[in-house]
Formats: sequence, C-alpha cells, structure tokens
Amino acid sequence: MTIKNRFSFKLELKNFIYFSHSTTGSNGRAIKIHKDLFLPFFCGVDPKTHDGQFIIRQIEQLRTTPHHLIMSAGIRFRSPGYTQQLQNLQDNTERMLTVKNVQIMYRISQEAGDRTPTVYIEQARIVDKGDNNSAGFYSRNKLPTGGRGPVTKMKEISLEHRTVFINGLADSLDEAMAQSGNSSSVLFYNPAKVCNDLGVWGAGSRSSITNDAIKELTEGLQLNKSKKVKWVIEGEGGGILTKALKNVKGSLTDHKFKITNPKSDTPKLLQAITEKKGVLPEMFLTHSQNEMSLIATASHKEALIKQIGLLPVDKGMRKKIVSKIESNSDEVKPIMQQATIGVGSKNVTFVQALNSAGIYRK
Amino acid sequence: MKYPGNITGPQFANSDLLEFTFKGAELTLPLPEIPANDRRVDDVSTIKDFSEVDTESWERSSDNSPCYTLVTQKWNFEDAKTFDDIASCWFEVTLMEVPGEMQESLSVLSPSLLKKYLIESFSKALEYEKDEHLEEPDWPKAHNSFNYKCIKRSSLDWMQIQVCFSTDSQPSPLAFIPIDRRFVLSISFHMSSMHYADRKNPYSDELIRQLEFDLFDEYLQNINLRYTAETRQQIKSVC
Repeated sequence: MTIKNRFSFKLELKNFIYFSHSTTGSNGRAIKIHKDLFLPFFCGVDPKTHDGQFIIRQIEQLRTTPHHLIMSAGIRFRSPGYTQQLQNLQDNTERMLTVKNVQIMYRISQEAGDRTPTVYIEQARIVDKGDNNSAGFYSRNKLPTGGRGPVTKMKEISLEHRTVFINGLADSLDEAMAQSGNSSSVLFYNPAKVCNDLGVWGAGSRSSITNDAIKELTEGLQLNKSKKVKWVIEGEGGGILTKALKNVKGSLTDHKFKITNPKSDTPKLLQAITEKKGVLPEMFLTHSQNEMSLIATASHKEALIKQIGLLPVDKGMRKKIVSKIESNSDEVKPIMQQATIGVGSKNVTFVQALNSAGIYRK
Repeated sequence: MKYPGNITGPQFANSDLLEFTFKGAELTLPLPEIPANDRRVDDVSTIKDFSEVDTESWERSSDNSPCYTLVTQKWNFEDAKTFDDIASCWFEVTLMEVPGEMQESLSVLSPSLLKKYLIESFSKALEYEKDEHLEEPDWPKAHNSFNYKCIKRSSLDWMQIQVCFSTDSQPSPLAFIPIDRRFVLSISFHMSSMHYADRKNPYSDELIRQLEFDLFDEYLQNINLRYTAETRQQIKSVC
C-alpha cells in the first residue's frame, strides 16, 4: 500500500484505525494506522515476544508535536505566518520511525473527527538485519572435536549430485546453515537484505547486495546447467531463484526443485522452473505449518492454482497439491478475514486485532 | 562484565549453573541467562551423568570421534539507546570421546600430548585453508599452532586456539578442557556484527571482536572442574 501524496492520504482516511487502546486520543495521544498494514505487521511483529512488545511500545510513544514546532527557550517570538508555514510543512511531511526490524512511515495531521493532532501510520516495512557474509555457495566443514564446524565459501562451484539449500530469512550464515537441517548439503546463502527486497511484502526496489546475489546464483546455475542437482528452496529463497532462473541460458533438465514453506511469489517461481524445463518431484510444494508461509501462499492462491494447472506434471499429483493448497488456505482464512474484516470492525484497535489473530500463530 | 558503549548482554557471573558428572571429574558450567530475542536458541543436554555413558549413537567428528553437544545458545547483543541488535552470538559446548589408545595412555591428562594431538587434528581438518591469508603471519594456522594459548589452572592446564568459523569472518576463540582420561570438552564462542539494511552498525568490527575474546575469557573463569582422587593421581603420573 502506497500513499503518494496528501490527496491520496485524504482519500484513504476511512481506512485508518486506532493503533491501540492507549492511543485513541482520550489521554491526549492519538495514533492511527492503515488497516492494509495488518498482514505485513502480523508476519513481522509478534506481540507475544519481547521484541514484538517493544516495537508496539515504541510506536505508542510517537509524538504528535514535532521538534520544529516546539519553541525553544532562546526564541521569544514567532510570527503567525511563520508558524503557519511550519504547520503546513508538518502536515505535508512524511516521517519515519525505525525500531528493530520495523520501519514505519507516518504523518501528523488533524482531520475531521480528530480531537487532537493525530499520527497517521501509512506504510510499514520489515527491514531485517544480517551479518557481514556475502551471498554465495557455502559448505560446512567438520572439526576434529565436533560441534559446529566452519562454513566456507566454495571456490569451485561443482554441484554434481549435490543437494543445494537456498535459505529463507536468517540473520546470519550460521542460522541459514541451521535452517537446512542437513550439514552435508550445500548452502546458497541468501542474506536477509535479499529476502527483504524480494519477499512477498518486499521493498519493491533492488539493492546492489541483491543484484550481486542474483548474479552469484545465476553463475552457479549456469556452470552446473548439465549436472544432476537437487534444489531445496525454503521460505523467501524462492524470490532470488525466480530472478536467477530468468537469467540462465538454456534448460535445466537434470535439476530437481522442491519448495518448502514458500514466502515469495510461488506462481512466478513455478513458471520460471517450468520455462527452464526443471523437474518438479512428487509433492514439490510442502508446508511445515508455518503461518507466514501459509499466508503468503493464501494471498496469491488463485494465481498459484492456475500456474499448477499449467505444469507438465502428473494429473493425480497436480490434484493432490491443489487440494493441499486449498486446505492450507482454509487454515489461515481466519487471519485473512482478520486482515480484511476484523481490523475494520468498530472499536477494534490494530494491536487488539494482532493479538486476536495470534491464536493462529504456530 | 562492563559492556562498552551502550551494548547490553548477559552477565556470566549471574548465570545458572549446570552440573555434569564424569567418572573422573565433576563439572559445573555456567549457563548464561540470554536475552529474549526473536529466533534465539537455548538448548541444554538432558543427559547430566556421563560416567558410564554409551557413545555409540553419538555424532562423529572429522576424526570419527564420538561427539555430543552439551549447550547451544544463540542470542543478540543490543544497543540500549537505539535498541538495535548489534551483534549475534553462537555459543556451543561439546564433549568429545578420545580414541581408545589415548584413553589407555592417559594422553588427555598430559598438556603436551593433548596439544600435539589437537594441533595435528586441526591441521588436517583445516587443510583446505592452508593457502589463505598467507600475507598475515598472525592468522591462526598450523605453523603458529592456531595461535595456541595455555590457560593456567592449578591441577591441569587448559588450552585455547583460534578458528575462523566462516569465510568472511575473523578467527574466534575455541578452548579445550581435559575432563578425564576419556573426554575432552570444547567451548566455542563466535560473535558476528549485525547490520540493518538501512543503518550502519555504530560499533566497529574490532570492538566486537575484542568483546568476543573478553567475554570468552570471562566465561572460562566461571567454569568449575573438580577432579576425583584417581584422576589427580593419573595427572601426576603423566605430567
């Protein structure tokens, strides 16, 4: 959801609801948030965790009087015209608050029906953190004393008969390796920045880190084009694979692709795999009851079922996967309804809706 | 530990204490109370008595020795002012059973023999990186015994080396503690600097690395190992 200017902000006013009970303006502080931000928030902020509660508290602390309107002790007089200019500036300026992995854009305005100047949260973005390690193919080495051995970047990317795991969101190389659950597989490290750029609720823009990562994966695919390789794609990992597959020249007839807990645009990924003649094994799409992945899948269920209908796979298998997608989507229906109906209900605050939807977290 | 700047993290001196029993010793390990970050790891072994343990089903190391993880923890250090996570930390304590002939010869209880065994094993295991960092003489490698450091203890000295846990990171500390004739404990502690896509970490990589080593030293100081009379006798016989 993007509110480009004050005009579109005015048109969207009916879609803003109070953020929480303590920010309804009754005690002077009023904060409203656009209800379309429910799903990104649900996936990025869990009010039951320490971090989630901290983010909510920080948003509740947002000031409605910006610094440039507070008269400091040294200033004795400000002309009414100048104050009005500052007020106009305030009304038209979008501000930003960054707390941990959440970045919100807001403006301060007093609209019809507002008792006090109110904070309007128009956009929210999940900005996850990552480590210093760059994207690439890594393998785990063992130590003579056991435990977690070093993870090193492969100098020669030879993937013949190997299983390559592309990780979903992870804040470090160690965590990405742990996600694979198999220390003998090769990891294509997909840094958090890339996941954020290419995820379902991604930034919509591509950083140089993301471009370099796509290039690295494309090279690996191109070099091993005629080799037998198994790919396991976890969560947000589908985003980078879709982009890389588009750049590969030729076909990948000996490459098998298995997608687990997808959190990217799965229809596009399946289309890219099919275009490169990649192999989809039986049950190529699985979920381990990860609510974010189920939401991501449910949010483009129709397109996904349509794309599966076009796949050159066995009819029985196609039917099995489609029915699985249908039942998975039913599981997250209450959250999707919360996003469209619950958040809009009278007297329901955004945080209250987040808490109610919390029972669907697994 | 007084953390530099506005960094906040666990205090090892206030940790919970874990007791493990071996045939030749009693071990008390501090278990830091780690922050409630999202995606943290806090796993502790359910086995506490290793005096007659069967290691047949344990995982194998690069030398095919049986290994078992006692503690795995992962948490993030925060900046108290900005509340950003500024470094993540992986902490692992692993137990290794030494080969039968070493148990017979009591090599684990001789600092010089244990050092020889571990340095040779690590040289072999880390052979793949022998041509890297040649221009850096202090980079831990076989020629400098992986920056070997002796940790003085009243009964039997412990040892520390440095190992690089990923291609783009600096070497981290790894300590070994001889438990009895059968087991060696290894402790690894690895911190990595965290960066949000849109903001730079205010703490330098050097500061975080220094903190990694300081915390590691502090952790080691809080470990308590009590040898049985028999093990003390065995130590005397080989030292």
